[in-house]
Amino acid sequence: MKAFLFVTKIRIQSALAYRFNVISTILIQCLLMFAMACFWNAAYGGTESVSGVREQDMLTYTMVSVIMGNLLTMGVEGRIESSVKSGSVALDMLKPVNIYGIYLAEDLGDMAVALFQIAVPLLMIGTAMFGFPAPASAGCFLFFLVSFSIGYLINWILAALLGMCAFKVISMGPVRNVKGFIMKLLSGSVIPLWFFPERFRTVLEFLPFVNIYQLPLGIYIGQYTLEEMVRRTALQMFWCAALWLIFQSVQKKAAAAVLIQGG
Amino acid sequence: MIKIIKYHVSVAAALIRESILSRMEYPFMLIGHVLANCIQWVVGFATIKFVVDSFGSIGGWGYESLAFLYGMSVLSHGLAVVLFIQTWYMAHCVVEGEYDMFLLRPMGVLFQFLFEDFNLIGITDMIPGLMVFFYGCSKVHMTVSFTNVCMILFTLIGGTLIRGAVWIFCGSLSFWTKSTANFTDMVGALFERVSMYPLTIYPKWAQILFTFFLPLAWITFYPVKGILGMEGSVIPAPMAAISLAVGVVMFALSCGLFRIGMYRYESAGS
Repeated sequence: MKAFLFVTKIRIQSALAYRFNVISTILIQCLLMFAMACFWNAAYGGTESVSGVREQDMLTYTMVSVIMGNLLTMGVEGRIESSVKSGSVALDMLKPVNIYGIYLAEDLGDMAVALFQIAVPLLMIGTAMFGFPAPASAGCFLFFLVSFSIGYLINWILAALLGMCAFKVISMGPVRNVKGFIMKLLSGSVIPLWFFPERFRTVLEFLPFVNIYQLPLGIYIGQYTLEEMVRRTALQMFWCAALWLIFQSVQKKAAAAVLIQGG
Repeated sequence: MIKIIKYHVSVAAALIRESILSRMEYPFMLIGHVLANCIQWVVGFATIKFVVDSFGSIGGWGYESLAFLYGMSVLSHGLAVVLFIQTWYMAHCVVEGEYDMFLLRPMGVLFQFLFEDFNLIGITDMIPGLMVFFYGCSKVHMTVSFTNVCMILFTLIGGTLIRGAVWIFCGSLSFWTKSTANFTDMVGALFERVSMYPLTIYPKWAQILFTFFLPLAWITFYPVKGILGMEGSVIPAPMAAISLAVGVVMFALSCGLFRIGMYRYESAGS
């Protein structure tokens, strides 16, 4: 555990060294948040509510979604790919700790930095522009935190699974981007599921992606009843566990088939 | 004069041929990018479609005109990426002293730099771009006439030049700042938000900003509005022609800035 905490700490320190990156990320994210807010504003055009969602809720949804997007950036895919490419994965594997634990610790370190460097400034700027994105109730907020954490794990395992492809193909090219685009649509991070066509939505409800953005955000704005929240969170936990099992078996196979480049 | 032009064309052709050949070395990469870009734009377009289906229209624009706007935007994005992708790495070239090589040759630096890397992969952006564009055309019942074809071509050239000019502007800043700060992501986000969605969804100050001071609205918004004949404009000239003019002027200005910056260039590499 101490080793993982150390990795997290190192990660925080190195991220703090790049000032320009932080400023430009904040600017881009503000722009995105502002543009999305304008988009919803224009779409609603004075209508009180569409598909049972009010405009104010949609603004909150957008703001929290953009902030979440910055906390859910996963380095693990690129990390595995680059260490397989350079051959440094051999060194990682020699260390007396679980390498996936290290990768997770790195990503958690990045999230800790993003929380203070990006999420907090974004929240302040967003509040200044559109008002504070308050959760529906304190209970909803607690539920949101739980749901967000499980969603984080699901997102991380999916990323790690994709990263593991690198053991087979060495260079993944644009595959990571493809995953990003697909996730963006299917997870409800840009537009929530309730605006999707009926049939499409029914299918999506059963896929793991909605558990990353849609579910926590829906809980945040109070879209679900308590009973529904519990049922959906149970499904989310099921997905997390199922993906974890898949991850474990794939990981064992990957370790056996690892090809060390360079030296 | 004709001799100079001929010479430049032959050099450009040779450079383009070389870069196409080098990209063809990795056919799977190319296929991967085709898929990635198709998915990217289809996802983007689906987002708009779902919202319009639920809400009816956005900023006074219906689904058909939004499809056309989106198609035009992806097309000029694709063209700009094919022709000007090297400008994304200008800051890096300045700091690393990579212009030394170009300065030693008896030809304009910017010309060499722009043609050094013809980005074949950018063409993969054009495939989904064309798909959405033709879909949009059929949705707005675009007729094939001389004026329409001209207007669309003007818009595409103008839009591509505006995009390229903004990239060159941003890259040239490093002649002064000597930093590798890369604005590509920021500019990209801005382009996407301003050129794929109608400008009318933004507040007044933003509309003025993007019309006069940072004329990104001319990439697609105004010319498309003109082509679709959405509303009588105050200016007598067709919007697409103005768009072309804006593109040419901006591009010339950005080349000028690059030239001035070049005087401040000090080879930093080893």
